[in-house]
Amino acid sequence: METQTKDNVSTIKINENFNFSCQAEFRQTYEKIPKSNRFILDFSKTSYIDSAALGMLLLLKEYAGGDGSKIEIIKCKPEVQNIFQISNFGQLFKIS
Amino acid sequence: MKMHPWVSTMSKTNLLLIVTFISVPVVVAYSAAQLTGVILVGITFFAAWGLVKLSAGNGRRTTGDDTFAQQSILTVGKAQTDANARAHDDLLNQLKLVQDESSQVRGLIYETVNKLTACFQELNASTRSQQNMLQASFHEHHEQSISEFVDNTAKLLDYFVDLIVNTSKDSVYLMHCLDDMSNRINAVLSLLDDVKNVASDINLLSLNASIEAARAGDAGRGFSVVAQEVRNLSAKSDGINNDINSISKEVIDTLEGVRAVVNRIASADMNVALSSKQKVASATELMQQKIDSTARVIEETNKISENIEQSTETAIMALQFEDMCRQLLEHVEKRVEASLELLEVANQSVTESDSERLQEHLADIEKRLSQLKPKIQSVQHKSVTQTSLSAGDVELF
Repeated sequence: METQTKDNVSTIKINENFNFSCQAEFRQTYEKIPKSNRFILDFSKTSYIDSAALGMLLLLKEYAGGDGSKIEIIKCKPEVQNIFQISNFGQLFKIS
Repeated sequence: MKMHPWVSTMSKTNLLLIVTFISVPVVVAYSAAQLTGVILVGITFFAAWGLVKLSAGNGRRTTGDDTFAQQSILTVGKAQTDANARAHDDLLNQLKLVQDESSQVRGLIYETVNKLTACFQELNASTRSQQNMLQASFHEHHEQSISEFVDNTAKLLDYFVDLIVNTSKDSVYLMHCLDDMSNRINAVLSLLDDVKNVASDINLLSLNASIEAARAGDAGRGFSVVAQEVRNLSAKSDGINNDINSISKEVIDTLEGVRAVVNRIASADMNVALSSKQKVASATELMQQKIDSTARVIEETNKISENIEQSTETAIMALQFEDMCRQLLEHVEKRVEASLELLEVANQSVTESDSERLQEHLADIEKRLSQLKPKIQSVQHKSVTQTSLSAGDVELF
């Protein structure tokens, strides 16, 4: 996963298939970023996510400080957006 | 809009019944009135004729002085009196029959109208209770339970989605832990490699010590034994190292097995939940449509019930004609009664043959006539002024 950090804002480009197989890679990616940074997750490439992906996002939220974390999910495709919607992720993350 | 078939059938049958029941007494009453009218005309004519005759006879008597003429007049008068008496009897019978029949008609109309009114009231009550039952069953079984069911289903689905997501999160966390554990075991394995190298060095060192001890001869004999022991220890250490290595590799294999299981637990296809949610949403919409259409049906039947209620009320109001018919018939009966009295007066005057008392009777007749006059007039003037059923507000029975 590509990462770009600028002025304490880190953008992670999420894989096309964001599923359980990405867990180690995703963890390694975000654990390199300081916890206090603002996280922007770019889903523009992603067309499939499973429940493990949702679990990974929740773990990232915990890593970044729980309720005080600054995580933004951007450029979602409709199919991905639907899954965020039924999981009520809109209440936990800023999704666009 | 669909209507229960028995509702329309019931209405039609009832209307037919009502028309039949109403028309029969009306016709009967009308015929009775017609007959009474004819008879009344007859009576009036008859009575008038008798009075005219009487006055003519009287006039002649006051001026007459011829006894023969008087005799012949008396003979003719006798024949006339007989004829009049017969006619009088017939008329009397007819009038009494009219009186009886009119009273019968009055009774029939009263009885039938009461039955009809009861029928309409029953119909009204039945329609209202049917409507209430429909509405009650709709409110009980539809709105509450369906919306509850929909709410519960949505909650259950949310609960399962939360469960799946949380299980996945824990599984991913477990996977992170397994990864950390693997890394540590790998670190142990590399340390074991170092230990192996140390053992190998010790083995080499002990070999060198043995050679040096042999060169020293007898003096190095004891040292040679120590060197051999050190060598044995190195071999033992190497064996333990190998055991640890193989056990660590078994742990790594076990961890791989756990990893596969966790993978299965963690990775659920959210599209299943998504399609379930969509199915629930469409089912909910379908149920809502059903509820709406049922509500519409209830509303329509409400309107129909109101129509039935209005119609029956109108019918009950129309049945007030019984009151008017009764009044009319009472008038008919009064007229007949007056006519009977008239007839009696007429008969009495005609049958009176005593010329000396004639004057006295005449005065009596005139007196009775003047007494009867207001009675007849009062019936004429009081006769029902209301000719239309729709006029005037009539309270229900």
